[in-house]
Amino acid sequence: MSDCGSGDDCREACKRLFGYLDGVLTVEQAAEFEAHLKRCGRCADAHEAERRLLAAIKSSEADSTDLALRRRILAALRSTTLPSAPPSG
Amino acid sequence: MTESVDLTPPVVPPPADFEQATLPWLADVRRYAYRLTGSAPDADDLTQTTFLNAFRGWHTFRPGSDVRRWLFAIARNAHFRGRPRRERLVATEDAELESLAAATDSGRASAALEALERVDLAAGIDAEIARLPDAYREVVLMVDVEGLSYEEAAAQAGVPVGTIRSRLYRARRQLQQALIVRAEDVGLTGGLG
Ligand SMILES: [Zn+2]
Repeated sequence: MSDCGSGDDCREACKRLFGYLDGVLTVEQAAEFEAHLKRCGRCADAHEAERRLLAAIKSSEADSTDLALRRRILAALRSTTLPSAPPSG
Repeated sequence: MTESVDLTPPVVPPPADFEQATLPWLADVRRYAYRLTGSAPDADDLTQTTFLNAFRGWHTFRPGSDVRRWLFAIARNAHFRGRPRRERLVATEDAELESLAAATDSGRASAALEALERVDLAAGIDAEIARLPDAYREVVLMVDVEGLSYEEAAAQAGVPVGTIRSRLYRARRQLQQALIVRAEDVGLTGGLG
């Protein structure tokens, strides 16, 4: 299957890879892309690599809070005066 | 006017509300700030600025919307505000996308896949996002992390949608290359058993 790595189909597939992952292809384009992945190991690898990369970029959770930073921010917040509410009499 | 105490709720929500709603996201905001600044002390400072700006703007928060995304956007705006836009990246859309396609095409795929298995992705990705040029970093954070559509990102960055797309693709490509280099370094030094 590696012979299709540099063919026109592969160029087309690579061009559509991010569009596919971002869900912005038309239904037909997405189907064509998926069909190509089934035939082409290299593009399937490229897809898997990009999928993992995107998952890593998108994961934005952090597990531990730095307690010193938390204390510092709380102190800053509590010494901040908000623009006061309009006087109500 | 009576002598009774004023029981009308203040216009600005009380700080306790604010702290309850926002502080659970402190670690996430700090990570986001690190991706913006690339340095621990700068990330701490930006995190503090973000919470203070958020506190002052708490009355503009739309109840029911996503607090975390709101904080991320505040951090991003605080970071980029007033920064000179150094790189004017000229995008000739189709030609760029062609060359991006070619980059994946040339036998890189399995190397990339292997690299992504070898590096500590979570640690590497934050540092490498921080090293992207401003215009690329901004788009990656807007689209991939904050989840804005290409159109929303274009509106915020003040550039055409095609420019967002090509910056985004280039940024991801650059991140992938950087991670491959990291993996190669790990391989050379035998860092991972
Ligand atoms: Zn292919």
